[in-house]
Amino acid sequence: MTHYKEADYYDLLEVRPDALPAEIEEAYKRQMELLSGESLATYGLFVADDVVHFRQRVEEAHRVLSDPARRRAYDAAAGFADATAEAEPEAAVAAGAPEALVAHEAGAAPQTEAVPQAEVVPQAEVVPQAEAVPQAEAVAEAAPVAPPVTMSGGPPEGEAPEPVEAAPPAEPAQEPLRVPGPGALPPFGPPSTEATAEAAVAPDAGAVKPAGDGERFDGPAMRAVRERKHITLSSISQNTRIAEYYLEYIEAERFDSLPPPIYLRSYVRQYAAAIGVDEDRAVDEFLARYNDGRNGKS
Amino acid sequence: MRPLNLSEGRAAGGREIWAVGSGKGGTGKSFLTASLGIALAKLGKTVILVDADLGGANLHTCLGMGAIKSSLSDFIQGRADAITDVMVDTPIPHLKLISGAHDILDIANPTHHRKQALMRAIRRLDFDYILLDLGAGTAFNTLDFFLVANKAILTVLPEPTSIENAYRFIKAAYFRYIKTVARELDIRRLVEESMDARNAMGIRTVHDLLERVRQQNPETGRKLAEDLFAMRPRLVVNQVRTLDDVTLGFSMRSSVEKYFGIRMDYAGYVEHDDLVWRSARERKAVVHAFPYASPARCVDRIVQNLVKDTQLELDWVMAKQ
Repeated sequence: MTHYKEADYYDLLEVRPDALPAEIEEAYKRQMELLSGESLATYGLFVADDVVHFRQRVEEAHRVLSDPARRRAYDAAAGFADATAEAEPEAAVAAGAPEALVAHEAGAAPQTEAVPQAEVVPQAEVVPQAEAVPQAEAVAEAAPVAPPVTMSGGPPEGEAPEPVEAAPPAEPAQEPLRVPGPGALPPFGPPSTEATAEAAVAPDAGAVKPAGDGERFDGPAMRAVRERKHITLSSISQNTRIAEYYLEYIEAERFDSLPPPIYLRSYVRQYAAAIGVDEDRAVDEFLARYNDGRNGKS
Repeated sequence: MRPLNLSEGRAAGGREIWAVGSGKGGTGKSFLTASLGIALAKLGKTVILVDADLGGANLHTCLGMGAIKSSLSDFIQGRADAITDVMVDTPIPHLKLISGAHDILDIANPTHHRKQALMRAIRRLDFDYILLDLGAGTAFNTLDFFLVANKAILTVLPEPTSIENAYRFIKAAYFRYIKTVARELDIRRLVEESMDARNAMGIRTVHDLLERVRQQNPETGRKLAEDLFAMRPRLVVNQVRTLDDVTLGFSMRSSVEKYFGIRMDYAGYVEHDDLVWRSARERKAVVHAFPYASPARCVDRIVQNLVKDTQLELDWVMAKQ
């Protein structure tokens, strides 16, 4: 849990990123009650004006998370996309980074300033992955009807919906492969690193070799990538609202000073997105190192 | 970064110091300290209870013992050479007691030198667990004992006055900590000014203060944030009567974390039970006299959480209903 000024929307409501709509409503009610000024738990705690701002943030969190489309967009932009497995590429692009959408639709050349936008939108790389899963296309055609839990009005036009998610209803043979329920793992297996790396680094790909193929995703390696790209920690901190010192701890692998995995996951994901390295691998490998580091100590 | 007395919070030989404090009197500190000690002793640990309530000690009463001749004041005043000389047995195996100073008023405010000597002596006590029963309120002595502990336990009752004072206590303890560890004069002055709730800088919480320190000196701010992240007072809600009283702990935890900017664990609660009151009247230690009654079971659960560094889970509470 983080201070309300820095907390993400899920933190604010104290729900998991895969919370169901009903859970979000309940959590919202609970939080508003706590901030009503009537609650015993906060007696003598707040100074009048502060609670107003706090309440506004909780309301804002609720507005976004209770609206499926806005929630998907937020998830994509803030790096929660893998939690709600049915996140669609368009939604992500649309709300996460409008500029990217324009470029995408117009088929424009990649932006020269590749740093923030392209990388904040992990879903942009979904297309090549769809090809990596051969059955997906066939399935998508066979069953374009609403995928299991989609909260939007239906699948987007023009592009195949998230392939693996859509698969099961049409093809029972795929069932065992699916990871069901909330908290589902990212729908794809080992990500296609080349595609991701290319997309992320865009024009100056030749000059900058990101952590990726064969390279480790440890703190120092990612720091090296960031420094080569001249991305400052403070700019990442501003965009992600992650306190700068946490970013430093990630790079320095100061595991004892980092928050618990449930938050760390999202921090590493956002950080990886911001420096344009493969987020899934960064999260997996960093958390593995984190767990080793912590277990080794205690 | 940490000051002398705080950096060595862990007692010699890897033993643990637990301190029980509260913002207000009558929240059951002495009851809880005695009960935690008994529960730990029953687990086969060697335990010493230190009545560090230098003004109004009554831990011995909670253990069902009469007045005790030797006390901490003998040691502080220099009448006893070693702190172990004022240690007495209790009716419970493995459990010893150092009774508090109950007669000399000025002992409540020992000099800095004496206080340091006392802390050193306490830390050297050769027991698995050293439990300190602190005085109520936010006197510096109390706060320093609270900050020196490995596990700082805060007791509250589910009532407005107790909760209000608990927040005051938390604020005073953290601000004092920051002031003690900060080497820079301007930062110490900043903390002092912020202690005034209506300070012009609008600093009201640990989070506000930390932001301000970070602006003045990023490096100090970073180190402080790191230190504070490692600190986790443990909350115990005493005398709960309803489910709302139980969940109060979760709400308090959430509020201080999100608003105040500090982490806190909800170690557990003790159900209200007339048995506690009756035992006190009969001068019996309730968890010893009635090991299977609700208060003892609640205390056992708190001990488990404190020993294992875990805390109460909302799911568990709800499932129990």
